[in-house]
Amino acid sequence: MTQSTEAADPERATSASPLRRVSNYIREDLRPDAIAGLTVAVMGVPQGMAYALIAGLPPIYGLYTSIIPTIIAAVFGSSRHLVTGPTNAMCMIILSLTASLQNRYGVNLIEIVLALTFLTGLFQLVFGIFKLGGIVKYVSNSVIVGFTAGAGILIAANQIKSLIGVSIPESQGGHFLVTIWATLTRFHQANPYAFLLGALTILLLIAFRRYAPKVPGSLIVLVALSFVAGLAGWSEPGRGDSHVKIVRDIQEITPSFDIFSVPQMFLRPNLDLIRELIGGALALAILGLVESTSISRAIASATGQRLDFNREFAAQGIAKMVSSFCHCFVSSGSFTRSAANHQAGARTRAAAVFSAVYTAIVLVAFGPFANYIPLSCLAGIIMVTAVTMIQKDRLSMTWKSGRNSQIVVGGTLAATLLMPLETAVFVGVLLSIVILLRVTSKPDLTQLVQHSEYGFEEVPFNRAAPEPVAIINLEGDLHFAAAEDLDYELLQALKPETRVVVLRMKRLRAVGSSAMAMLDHFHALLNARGIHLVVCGIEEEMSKVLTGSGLRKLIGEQNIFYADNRIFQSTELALARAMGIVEMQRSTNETESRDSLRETLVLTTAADLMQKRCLRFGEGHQVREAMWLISQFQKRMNTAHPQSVFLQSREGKLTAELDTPAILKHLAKGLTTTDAAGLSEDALARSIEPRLFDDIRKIARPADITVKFDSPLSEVLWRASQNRFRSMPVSDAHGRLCGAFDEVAMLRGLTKLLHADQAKHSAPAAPIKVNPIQVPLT
Amino acid sequence: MIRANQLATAKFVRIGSGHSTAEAVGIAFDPTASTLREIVIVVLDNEGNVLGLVEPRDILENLGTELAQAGNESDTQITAIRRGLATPVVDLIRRDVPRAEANDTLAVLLSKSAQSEAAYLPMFDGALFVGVIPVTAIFDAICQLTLSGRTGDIPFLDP
Repeated sequence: MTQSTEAADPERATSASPLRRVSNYIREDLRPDAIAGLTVAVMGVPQGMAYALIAGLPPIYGLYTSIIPTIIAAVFGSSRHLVTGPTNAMCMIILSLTASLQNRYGVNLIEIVLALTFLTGLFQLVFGIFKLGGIVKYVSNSVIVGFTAGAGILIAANQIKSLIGVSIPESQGGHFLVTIWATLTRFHQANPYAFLLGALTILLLIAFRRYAPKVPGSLIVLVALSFVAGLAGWSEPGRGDSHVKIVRDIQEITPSFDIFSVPQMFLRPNLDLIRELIGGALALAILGLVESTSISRAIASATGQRLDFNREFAAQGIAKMVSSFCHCFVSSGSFTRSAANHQAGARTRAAAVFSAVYTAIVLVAFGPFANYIPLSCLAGIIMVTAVTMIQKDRLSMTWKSGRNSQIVVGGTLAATLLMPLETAVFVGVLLSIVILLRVTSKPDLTQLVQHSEYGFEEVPFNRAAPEPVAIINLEGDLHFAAAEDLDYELLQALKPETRVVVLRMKRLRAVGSSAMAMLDHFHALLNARGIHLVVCGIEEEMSKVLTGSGLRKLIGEQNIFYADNRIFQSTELALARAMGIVEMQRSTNETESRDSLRETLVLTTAADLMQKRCLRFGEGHQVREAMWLISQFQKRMNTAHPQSVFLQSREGKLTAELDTPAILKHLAKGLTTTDAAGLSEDALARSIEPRLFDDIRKIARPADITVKFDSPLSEVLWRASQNRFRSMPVSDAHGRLCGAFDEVAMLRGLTKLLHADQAKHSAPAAPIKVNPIQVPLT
Repeated sequence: MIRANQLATAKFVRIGSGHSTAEAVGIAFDPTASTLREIVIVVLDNEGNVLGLVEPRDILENLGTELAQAGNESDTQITAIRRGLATPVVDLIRRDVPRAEANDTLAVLLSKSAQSEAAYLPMFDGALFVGVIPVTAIFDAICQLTLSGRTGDIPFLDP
């Protein structure tokens, strides 16, 4: 498919002068648009007349509706291929809405339809202006499929009487089942000629679709069979029951274009009628927008055009409002004609305008001939298109998409068949929303278990091994329906061992007052059991809700952990907090056994913490050499922790210690922050240089605090607090340096203490694994 | 010219002021040396404002102080350790740490790092806390500045 010049060169389309653009259009796009417009008109003329019959209106109104709104929607809209005009589903709703109003209000049917058209357009214009395009999102695919199929059945059933040439009094019309029954009971009155023409129309159209899909079958069949009926004299008046009704019998089509008139709703407004039409107009507006956006989006996905839906909505609204002054009924984006427009090579919105112009020419030039089209032929066309509305593939796919889709599509279909059509759309939407609420009424509950190798493991809810800390992961929507009874469900995760519950709420959405009430109640239930609540994964929105509801204060800031970019960061912190709570609870019980702690205190010695790799240096070196050594050691050990250099005598005895802060202090001697602010790096280097050559003994401090290999952890910790250095040297009985450990190693030993304490107190259940909390890396 | 924000890192541990030392240890601990690069805990108040920094050194000093008062009995030592672990982390915040500004030069940083024994300086951009500067990073930068291209002078190093 050739791309539109607008699409191919958008810059040219917007920046070129108007004259240049017209010239470019004439040269490149005029011909393909004119051809595509002709194709659409050939298809649209019979469709327009037939769809008017669906709406219960004379065919001429279908032709008007194929002209005026088509032009206006094309001018103001954004889609290059959307063709607006009469559509079968909309016409069926018009019939459903207006059929009974004519007698009730004593107003002409066409005036009621014009009022309905104006109101529908007004709704759509408002949607466009206030950018309410999102409203169509609430009409799901299942609703559209169910409604379209239902409308197809209704349309086909409604046309049986016209197809077989039976007249049914208006008093016996109404529900489609009643209409079918009335038709069947009058089957003996069927006009065999009308039936023959209708049946032939259907058969020929099917044959054209199958064997010559590109040929304008509808037009050829209508012309041919009209000739047949005319030549055979079947449509001549005065034939009694065997007279085949033709278009002229409803209202004669005259080759005039005097169509402007102000609808009566402006001249003699009937407020009761307008009030009654408003609900239907809203349904038509929404369904019309769904139709228009669906087809324009489908074609745009093939052409790559970016659509402005709010502009499209406004255009559809303007088209209806203006066309209601021109004897047009409610129009919409036509699936079939838009697709034909695109396939015929339309490049710009002018193609739709061309189709309207051709239709107007047909109306003026060939209008009188259209008067001889048999109504049964139009009924045949309608029945064929109505059957295509029942999209078997889409119905089947939707039906197989699960029980929820079945309920929505089945419910909408049933509502379409049994209720007023405008109500059926809302029933479908309501069903979709109810199903959505039902599906989302239960947030996903799982439990997290910390794993020693790969962080957290997600296990089904209530399947985690009993531990003092239960981590519950809440995901999904937590609206009012979902919050109901969730607190009691959460309690199922509690075991006799549970001391702390960590609620992870990272992916929880739509939190409202019901959810906060649930959380409040859950907190109270836990309190009654002596269990603490810690929450984590708190996003900004949830944080605000927690504050506003007063739950932040109730839970306590120390028990709230906020979501971080790093996955599970806040969960890790919350778990650390939970373990802290468990620890504190235990520490209050002084009578409990301390064997495990005691063992750790005694059995963990300096040898367990020590590393043999440490910086040893002779005593007679310069500061710069120590600096070099430390910087290389830091790089090799990949550590940012301040390191020490241990000075040894010739006998290998530890004499002194020098660390990074001490060197920095030496280099910065006499340098105030104010002086430093004015120093360039070169000046800084020059000021430091003399000190680089100083003897390290000038700044090293005596290593008078050491530990032995077998010093227990308690002594290590105590001595560490006395030592001003960040590394603790380990020496042997002769005072020789064996190794050292830094603060990190001491922390490791401390964590061992925690492990021992937790392991002891979690018996008989499996010991809690306090995995190291990963410190983020550079 | 090297500025403070080139030496700073935002990868550190944040913790609320209500947490205990035990929790701080749980967060700061890691068994592998390679991941122990910025073991510094930034303590925040309820509004998210930075109250100060806590280093492993501060935790150990607090435990050592408790142990020093406990005597030689293992029971009293255990009680002392538990008391030390239960200490709110906010009580361990280092008070003498000068704050670095994002546009501080290396000279200014050197001067500030020499004013305390802290291993990390908190860095602010105006009133906004943006990260921490390890003194080892300042040390490395000084080494680069003063020792670069002069390794031949250093007698103990092999060529």
